[in-house]
Amino acid sequence: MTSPMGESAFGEIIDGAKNGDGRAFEHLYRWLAPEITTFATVRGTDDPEGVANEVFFRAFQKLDRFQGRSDAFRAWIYAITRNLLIDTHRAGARRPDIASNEVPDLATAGADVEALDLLSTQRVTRVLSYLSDDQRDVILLRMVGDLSLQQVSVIVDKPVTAVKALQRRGLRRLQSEVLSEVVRP
Amino acid sequence: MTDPDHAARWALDDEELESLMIGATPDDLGRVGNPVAEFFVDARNARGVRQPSPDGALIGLFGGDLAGLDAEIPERPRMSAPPHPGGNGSSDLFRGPGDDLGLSSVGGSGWSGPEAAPITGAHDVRPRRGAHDAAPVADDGFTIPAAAGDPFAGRPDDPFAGRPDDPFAGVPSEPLADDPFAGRPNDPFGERPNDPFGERPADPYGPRPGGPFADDPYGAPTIADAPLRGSLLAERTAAHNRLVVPPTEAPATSVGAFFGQVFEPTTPKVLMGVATVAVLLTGGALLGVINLPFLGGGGVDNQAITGLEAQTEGGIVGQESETGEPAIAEQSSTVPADAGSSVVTVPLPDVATPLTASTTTVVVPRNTTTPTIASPTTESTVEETTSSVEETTSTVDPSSTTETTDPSTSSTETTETTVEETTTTTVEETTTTESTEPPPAENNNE
Repeated sequence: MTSPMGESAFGEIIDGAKNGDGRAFEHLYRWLAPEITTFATVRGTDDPEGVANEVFFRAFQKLDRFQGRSDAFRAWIYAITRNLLIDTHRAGARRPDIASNEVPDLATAGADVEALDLLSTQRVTRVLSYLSDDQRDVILLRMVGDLSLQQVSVIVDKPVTAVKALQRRGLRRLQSEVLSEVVRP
Repeated sequence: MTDPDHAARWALDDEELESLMIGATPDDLGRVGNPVAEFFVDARNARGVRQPSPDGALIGLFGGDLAGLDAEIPERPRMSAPPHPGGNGSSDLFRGPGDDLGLSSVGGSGWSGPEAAPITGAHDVRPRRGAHDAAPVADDGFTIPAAAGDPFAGRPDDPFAGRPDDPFAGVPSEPLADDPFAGRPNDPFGERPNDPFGERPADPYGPRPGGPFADDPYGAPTIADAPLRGSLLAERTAAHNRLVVPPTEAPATSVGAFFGQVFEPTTPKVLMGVATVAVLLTGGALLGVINLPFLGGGGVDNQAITGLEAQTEGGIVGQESETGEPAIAEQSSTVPADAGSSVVTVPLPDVATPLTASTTTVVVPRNTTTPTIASPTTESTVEETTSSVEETTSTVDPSSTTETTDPSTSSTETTETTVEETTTTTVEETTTTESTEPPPAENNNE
């Protein structure tokens, strides 16, 4: 998927960013940060905005050596995001759980919240959590990132055929979980 | 419980699922109201709900100098979920405020340059599916033609291609397979069954026969409460490999000492132990307990070192080993109490040379409650066998302990160093370094 700004404009922006133009950085950020945030959110991280910031911070640090089209830039950003999320997950697994002092807001608990929850990101995240990590990554990279199978296969470092299989199994599992949540006798 | 009939009615086939995933709407498929199809709407609609601030990334980049950045950037509203009435088969999920701003979302032509278009909406004005489908790269999920100029195609230095060791493949969530702290049999910090400092089930002083402080665990013992008298009959408890000393009927003037614990040696030549010495004033008043670690070695039968004697001026109070033989070959002579103190000599097992032949003297000043140990400045000599430390560095399989990720931001290096001592201690030192590096952008060249 190409950038909405067009390749020529993207080239100007990426050159500007390499030269330290803050506005160029922000253009790139504004272009992809929302979907990166979404990707991080539905993948289950606690701080998607922080992830987005960290992703672009890392990307900007190495931007001077980047050359390519906008779709390559997108895939590159998603690769950074996925790896950062894996890093974060690993780091979290090594840290002991710390009990939260936050008290749930009981005033918001109710049927209306439950109804809204069906449409919320939490529900999406919960259903996606039933998938394996690879299945979830493939589907999210395809669905949220609008990446091609080939790009996804590059990011997850698996053959395209394996990505197709992961996608197919993930979608079936996704459907099964959605139906099991929604469909009641 | 799921109703199978309803589930079957709403189930979508693979093709429908995939088309939903890559942008088709429920309306496109005639599946409006289908919970599965609507789920994809929800999932896609989550996009852009939160508009992150670039400050974090940009401040980190510019060190807080955000001058020149345009702060007049409106928030991105939530995308509309319902399908566009005039949809032409493409996804209207991408229809965002960019449409309202007059920016075409088709073909990505709404951007004429970095200075021309508003920043907001740039993300929203993504090409609709129709335009996306018309792109050179087929997005049907099955056919991937080699698009001209595809930055991923055929690059010899493609950083994503052919990485033999995917560090992220099959990484279990918990516990980590490469967790350096998991399941180490020789973990020096792991639970040790013969931990000399572990829980000791038996009070070495035994039940106190009575007295005003009998039930007070913190009460100061008196002469009448002193349990350690006379001979020290050592008993080994099977569960803890420990020797305890039951109360005896010896005169109250004795000074008790007993063997606290004996490690099961890790090598047959070395023994380690802690002698727990109960120090009593003449008359039986308990001053306290001193743990005296010592080393031994030389291939001595561990069973022989089961006793530790205590001596007073009256001679050997008692000693015993499980083998029935005196555990101490050489009896240390009792040092008579001088004018100001009672000197208690506690000989430790004198095992075969070149073992440790240690004698620790516990000097108990009179009229005080704090015993002091004279060793090693006076009579305590500890001879340690010369131990050679062989340091070896094990070579670890890189696939399991060293991971290199590219362009991943994760790199986990694990170095294991095993230090083998010829004495008793095996020190295993594990250093785990996890570093995160930004992806090498040079890999995305061309």
